[in-house]
Amino acid sequence: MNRWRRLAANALGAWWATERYFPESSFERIAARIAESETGHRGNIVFAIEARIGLKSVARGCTPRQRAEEVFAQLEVWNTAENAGILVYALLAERAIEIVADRGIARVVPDPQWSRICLDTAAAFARGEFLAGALTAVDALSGLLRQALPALPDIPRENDLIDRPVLL
Amino acid sequence: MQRNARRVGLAALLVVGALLGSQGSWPDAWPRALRRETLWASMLLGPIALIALLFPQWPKPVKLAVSLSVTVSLLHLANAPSIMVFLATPLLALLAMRREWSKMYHGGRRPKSTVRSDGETRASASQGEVAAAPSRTTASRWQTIRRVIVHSLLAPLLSGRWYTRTLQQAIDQRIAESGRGHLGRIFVALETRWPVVDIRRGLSPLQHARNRFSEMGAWNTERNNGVLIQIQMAERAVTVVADRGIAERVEPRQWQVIADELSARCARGEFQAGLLEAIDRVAALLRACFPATLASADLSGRDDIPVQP
Repeated sequence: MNRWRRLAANALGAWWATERYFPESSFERIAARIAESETGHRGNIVFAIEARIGLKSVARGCTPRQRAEEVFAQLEVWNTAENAGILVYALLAERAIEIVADRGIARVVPDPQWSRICLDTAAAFARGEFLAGALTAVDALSGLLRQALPALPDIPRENDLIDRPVLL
Repeated sequence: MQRNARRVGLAALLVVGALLGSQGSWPDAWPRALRRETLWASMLLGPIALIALLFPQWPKPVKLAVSLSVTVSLLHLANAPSIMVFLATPLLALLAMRREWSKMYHGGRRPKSTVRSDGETRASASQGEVAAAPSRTTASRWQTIRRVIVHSLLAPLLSGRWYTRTLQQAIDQRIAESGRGHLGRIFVALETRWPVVDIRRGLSPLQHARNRFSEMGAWNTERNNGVLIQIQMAERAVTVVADRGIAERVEPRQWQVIADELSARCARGEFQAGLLEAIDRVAALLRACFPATLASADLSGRDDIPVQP
């Protein structure tokens, strides 16, 4: 997408979208799924949804990826004991999904796996299955985390980050 | 209650202004333009304030419609140029709908939880962060106003006196020098003033420093051993924020000592000497915990830049 199309998409797209596609009930279900999955591994999953990003930053050339990294810093997803925070960022106006993983988990999991999860989620969102897509993404990520960083039985884990999806 | 008092005041002021303006008993010495402006302002804002005051229980669209029609008829009565009417209507609608507009913009709901909006700091148990300033979580309205004034008026005047190119060069150089001995990273942020949003949120200097720590990417270190030293000029605060990798090996008292020392020296005006010494002390801590003997291969990508946002 070139810059003008991105500007148009961010100005005109996804009005009332978060309300329609992610009602309160699906927020709770995603939160419950994340909380449940985090009992099985030592990572942390944060789900962030944004309707659109500011036109000023689009004009400056901020891509969804950069915005996702900004959100990663802002929500303090980096602040985990084993550097195993994962941010799933959905930008509804541009229909973009970004997954930002902290170094502790990113160096264990190869790149194609991340992009596969990303593409699957994007495909599900494009079909209009928002809740199902989000839950599948959480499941896939927790599968990865379970392999890479399984929960240790004797150490009680600290849940550093919020489970509830964040609406930006 | 307070809101109502404000509305009463506004409405009374505007009614008086409108009366004065229309009766022609406006002091002659005052400029004519001012009189015209007051007239228009009272016609535009008066009905909204009055109706909000008199009928607060009406639903919002009704209040909006009534006050709009009153305004438009007032403007017609005053023989306002029709351009004014055309301009006023959407302007007023926007004003009145401001809150609804922002709700729509955020996708139907106000954002529920963002980290920066509230004062609580989560997961700070394993993170060393100290401030040499009284911590403040909630601020009253007057405190907020005072802080806005200090930040926006006084601090920019002062900034030129302490933030100089030589200071920045000295800091750059010292960080680069001390960086050879350890694997940590030191960040220095010299900040004259905060953005107004942060003041309105009533953040404490420590919370602000924490946000800065996030924004600067000081967390993005291999061993979680970034340390941020920040001087917040307008708040007269010095903060030291250390990531968990270094914070768990150093006792919190030592950070406090560094912050207190630096803040005392800044109070005496010795910014450069104080900062350089603080950098040295942090570097000594890092050298003790992360000596650069074992792996020096991954030292690339070291870019410690003091920033002045």
